[in-house]
Amino acid sequence: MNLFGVMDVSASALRAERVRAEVVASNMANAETTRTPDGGPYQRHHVVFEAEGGGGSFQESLVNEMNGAPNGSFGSGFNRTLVGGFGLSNGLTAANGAPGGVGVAGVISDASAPLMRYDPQHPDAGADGFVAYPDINPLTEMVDLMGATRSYGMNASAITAEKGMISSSLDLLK
Amino acid sequence: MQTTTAMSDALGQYLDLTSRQMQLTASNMANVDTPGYKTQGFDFEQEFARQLNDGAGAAGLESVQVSAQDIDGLVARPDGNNVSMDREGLQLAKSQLQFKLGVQLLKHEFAGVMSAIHMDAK
Amino acid sequence: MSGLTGGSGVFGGLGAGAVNDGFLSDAGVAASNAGSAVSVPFAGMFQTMIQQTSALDQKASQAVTRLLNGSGVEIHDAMIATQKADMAFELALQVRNKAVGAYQQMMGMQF
Repeated sequence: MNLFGVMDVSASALRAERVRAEVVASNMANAETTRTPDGGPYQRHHVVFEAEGGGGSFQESLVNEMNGAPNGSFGSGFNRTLVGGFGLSNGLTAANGAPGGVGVAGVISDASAPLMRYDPQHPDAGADGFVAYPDINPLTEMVDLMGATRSYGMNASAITAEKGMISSSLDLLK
Repeated sequence: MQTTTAMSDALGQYLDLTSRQMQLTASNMANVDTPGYKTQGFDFEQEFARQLNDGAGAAGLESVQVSAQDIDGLVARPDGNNVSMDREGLQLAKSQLQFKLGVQLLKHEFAGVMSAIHMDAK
Repeated sequence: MSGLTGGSGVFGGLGAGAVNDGFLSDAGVAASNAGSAVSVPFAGMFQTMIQQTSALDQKASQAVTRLLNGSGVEIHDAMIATQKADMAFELALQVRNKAVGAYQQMMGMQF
């Protein structure tokens, strides 16, 4: 691994957990959205993580990325530029993602059936008077958010530990 | 006339193994939410003893990458992931302290040799 | 210094070959020391030290370059290599100072 290889791994986790938190925020904000540009109610999204590389050297992972290893496809309805930006604008290294780290494989729309409520006065009501609402449970979303926060905190303290290690190896020359 | 001691060689290998342990721990922590991921690690004491007995001196600049194996005895959650945050947190703290220990001891070794070299210097 | 290199060509070969198989392996140094005790002891030892120092220095700058390139050298390995090169250099320097001081002391003797 290169000089900051270990920090890249933890940084990839921070990115991935942040995407997860943003998806949760999007779900909670759109819990009552009955119309979307695609038609129909908002569909709940969730992220899929995948482990990347796995102990390979920097050169190896760079070659892999240059040969077009796919970084996952992104689901519709989600802010494509937001997620795509994480993949492309990786500051430290040219390779996307760190070997041994984690990446967002995709943001997937839940295909679950929408919640139907009877409200004939609603502008989005169907012929039978039912309005389709997204089936989003705020408790599920909050638990997911707590998990993302906990993982984010753990990986942030891992970065602090790694920084400490690198500083103490600089001490060798003093 | 050599300025390196067997102790500094051993400490160098100790630091290599500790930083490898750190890489694996960081990897495990990053993948705590990845479905199907199994915790990776290696037996530190065994590897260290093996490296001390093997080459009486490191193989060169790049340390031999210790292969990571799946750790046994961990409970897997429903999505197939078996990373335990507690274990990884403990491992992180241990590795950090081990690294600092290795660096301090190595500094001490080098300082001893340097003071011997400079003993009569005016 | 030019006078020393002539007598120790053979030891030069031994010394260079020994230190190149891993900068931490000093078995070769002992072998070349044993060889040098045969003819000119101090010159041979000094020659070995010079070569060892330059080999360690080369290894250290190689380590730092590869560290900065990102080709797999850990930071502590580069630091250790640098420190070892420094120590070998310091030792060679102090030995040289002592040797020069002893020579001058001898030359200052009056009969």
